[in-house]
Amino acid sequence: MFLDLHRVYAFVARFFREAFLPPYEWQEIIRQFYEVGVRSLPLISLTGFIMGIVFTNQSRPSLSEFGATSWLPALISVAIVRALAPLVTAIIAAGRVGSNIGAELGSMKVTEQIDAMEVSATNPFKFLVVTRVLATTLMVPTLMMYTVLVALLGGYINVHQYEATSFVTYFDQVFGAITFLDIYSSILKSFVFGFTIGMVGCYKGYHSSKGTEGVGRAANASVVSSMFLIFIEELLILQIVNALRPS
Amino acid sequence: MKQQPTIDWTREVISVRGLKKAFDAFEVLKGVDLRLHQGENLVVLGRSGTGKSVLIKILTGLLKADEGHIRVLDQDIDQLSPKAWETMRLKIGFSFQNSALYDSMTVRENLRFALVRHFRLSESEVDRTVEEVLEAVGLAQTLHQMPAELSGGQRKRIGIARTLILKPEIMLYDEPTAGLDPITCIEINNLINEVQRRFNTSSIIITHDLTCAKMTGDRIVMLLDGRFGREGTFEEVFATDDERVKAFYTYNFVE
Repeated sequence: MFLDLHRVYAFVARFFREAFLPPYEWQEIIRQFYEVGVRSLPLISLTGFIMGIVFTNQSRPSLSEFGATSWLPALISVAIVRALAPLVTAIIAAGRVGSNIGAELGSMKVTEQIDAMEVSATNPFKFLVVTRVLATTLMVPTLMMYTVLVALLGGYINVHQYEATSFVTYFDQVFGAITFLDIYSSILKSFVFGFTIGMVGCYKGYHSSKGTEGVGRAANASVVSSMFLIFIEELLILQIVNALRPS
Repeated sequence: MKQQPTIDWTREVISVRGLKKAFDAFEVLKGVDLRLHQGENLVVLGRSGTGKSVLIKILTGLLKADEGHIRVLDQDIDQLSPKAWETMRLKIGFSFQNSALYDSMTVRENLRFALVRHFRLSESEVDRTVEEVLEAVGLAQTLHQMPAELSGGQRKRIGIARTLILKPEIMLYDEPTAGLDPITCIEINNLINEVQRRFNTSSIIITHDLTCAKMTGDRIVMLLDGRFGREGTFEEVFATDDERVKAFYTYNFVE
């Protein structure tokens, strides 16, 4: 286990060393931004929208017991911005992007494509790992903000249907309920989640072995380990943010 | 029939002494000595699992030797800095057993990949170089195909083209004819000889295919129990009463 921790540390340290040193693989970075960001949009749109509708629908009965359905926009806003959007985006990204990275790099490892890059005097770590980790680190927060938007729209449609709340009133209440700390902490969380997804996927893929079985394991371990770490990080960041939050 | 190559027997481009390599308790190489001369095709024969591929992976720095002294192109490789390794690797071409083509890229992108990273060339120069090297391996028509669309023999050729595009001084072939039909094997063997003649490369060819060894090798060495047991021309290597060598010869043709 300690040997593995040492390898993880060396892998992360190498990322920071190589990420800031030229040459930069701009073309591959842009390609990965597209892969991680743009190609996740359909799934994120659908999931975020449904999440907004379902959460609003499920929250209504509890609030109506206290005659507080007018608080629905504020409740939706706080729940989505603080917790649901960062977590759901990260989980979707871990499932879609993390497994893809683990499988792709794992496959390249067992078919000696990574060795082929190395012997052609190209740094495979810079080309494969740095580009992917940068893409997930920067695109997951962007996707999270987009998830917030579509989830709030989903919530609006439900609130408008049952409470006949106008668009302006809904969003006035939504923005009135959240603070800059909520927004900043969610963005920060998403950076951490994105970095974790990219790093875990790359680490598992880069160190896969045992042929096609190893590729499957790398893909699976990328998702499972990422999700496990994401929930732990969520818990830790929540404690820090709560400590910073004015009482 | 192979044309007589120009070999400089006085210049050693690779010199290996006392090379040892073990994986856990299993010692694969037990003190290998090897010389590769300028312009020579050296065939390394041996059964599967005898450490043939390990040997050439050590020469390119993909694996580290446990013991031994290795000089490549007049440099001790265990003393090379990362930057010097990068320069060294441009002089050593490595053709992998399964070709190891980048399967998310087209043939053109596979060939351009290292070229654009190491040489300052215009787009038209890059394209011309790619076309030239593809023509040299006889596959100019595959430029925009994906590796998955190619046959095994074509993949081998593209793999060789990808290394040739960097104009290496040394070529290392890992099982170049493995998994190919006999006619394609002969085409690949002819290509190896053509590369030697046209690009003036020195090559190590790892194989257990005796036809390949006979067609391409100027000198043959045979790995037996972690050391080179036999050395010479094809006929010299197999002119022995050693049962291990005789069995290798017999079973190769039975297969």
